[in-house]
Amino acid sequence: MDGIHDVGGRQGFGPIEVTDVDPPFPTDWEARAFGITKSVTAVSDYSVDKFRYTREQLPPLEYLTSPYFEQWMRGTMAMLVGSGLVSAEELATGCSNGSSPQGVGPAKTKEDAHAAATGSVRFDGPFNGAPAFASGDRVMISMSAPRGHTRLPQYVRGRSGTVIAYHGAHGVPEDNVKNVKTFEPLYTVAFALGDLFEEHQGSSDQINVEIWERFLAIAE
Amino acid sequence: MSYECQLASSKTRKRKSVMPSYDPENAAEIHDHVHSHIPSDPALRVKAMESLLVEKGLLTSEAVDVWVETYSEKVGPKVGAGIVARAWCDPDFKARLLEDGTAALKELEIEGWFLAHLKVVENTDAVHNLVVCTLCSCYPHGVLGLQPSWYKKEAYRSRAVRDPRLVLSEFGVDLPKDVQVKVWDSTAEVRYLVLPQRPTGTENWDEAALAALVTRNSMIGTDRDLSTTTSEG
Repeated sequence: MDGIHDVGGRQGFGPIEVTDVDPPFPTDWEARAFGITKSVTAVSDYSVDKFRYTREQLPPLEYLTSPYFEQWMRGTMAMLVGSGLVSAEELATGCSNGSSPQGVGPAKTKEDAHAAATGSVRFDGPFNGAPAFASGDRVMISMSAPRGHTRLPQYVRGRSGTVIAYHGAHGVPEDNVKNVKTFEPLYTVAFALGDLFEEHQGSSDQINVEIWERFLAIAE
Repeated sequence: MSYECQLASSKTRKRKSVMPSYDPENAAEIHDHVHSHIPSDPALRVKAMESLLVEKGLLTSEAVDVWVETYSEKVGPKVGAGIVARAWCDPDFKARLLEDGTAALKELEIEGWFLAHLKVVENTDAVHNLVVCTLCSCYPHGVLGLQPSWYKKEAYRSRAVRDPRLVLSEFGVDLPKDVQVKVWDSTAEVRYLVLPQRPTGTENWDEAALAALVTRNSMIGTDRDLSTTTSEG
């Protein structure tokens, strides 16, 4: 989806509000919104890809202006309502209508949360076959703008770069949001800054992007 | 403040026992629907949500506390600074860290959120690394904690891949022309940690003193030359 979230290379956002040290949470409610999102019992087919796709579909003005953890909260609310676990009316009042969610796991305990907060989840998986590209290959990036969720940013589409790393087969976000579990070779592709943005022609600077195999072809 | 809920009818409405699932294809519509109901004050929204989810059996406040405490007190840039200092002091560890960040961290018994595919990139006299996520705000949480505010904002995310040197100069890093900038856009689940250069004049310093020199921004790439006068961490 060519949504408001895909901001790489866009102009007009102004200077950066530089900080050297930040509190983890500016306010208490942001801390709670973070903790709720990380520990709420979700439907079994929920995933980080669905969470991202949901956040990307916030009204653009809200995406650009509301606090980050408010956006997380809105993502979690959409998941809960969209999967029928709670209703918008219940979220409004904080009061249950008496129905109890069926077909989901129990609430996470303190111990569950501790294990999740100090463990690592892998995103790679089984793949029968060999990667089609090797480090050093010149590749052209697909021009296609996949409908639905995608992790192929606009600013590299149709551009050429060089494969510099292979990471094994990783779950494909474009499929995963549709409940199709596929694992496909994932590469880092290095682009000359000047090949992405004309005003930097001749620059030695380099932009590196992870791209799944389906979006690559050998450059002519 | 607690929510006073009228006791809902004791007849628990049972749904058909189909596995609930979530399709985000129409999330924009769901957002509009939810938005038309919920209170406008985000603090109230969160309170209502937490109390509802606890009542529904989907959440315990203790689990929320664990995540908040972990990311307020235990996991933050000090974890990353310790790794950097270790790499400066132990060349064999540094070699393993650059080869496979995740495996090297396991030696130190460090695991955590988004550390399963960690790539450590080294600054040198000739190269400066800068990390960004243009599509959201992916970050190596388990070693750096939660993102700084600017890392999540569109100004940084849009410009880091277009005008990296201007971005760096806004952070006070003015790079000579012969230093190459390598920007890493975290579009998948690989996460990047920058290994900054060890300051000169610290040859006899121990690991703890070295770790105190390592700034958060230097591990994202928005800081470069670490000062030896700001220590005592």
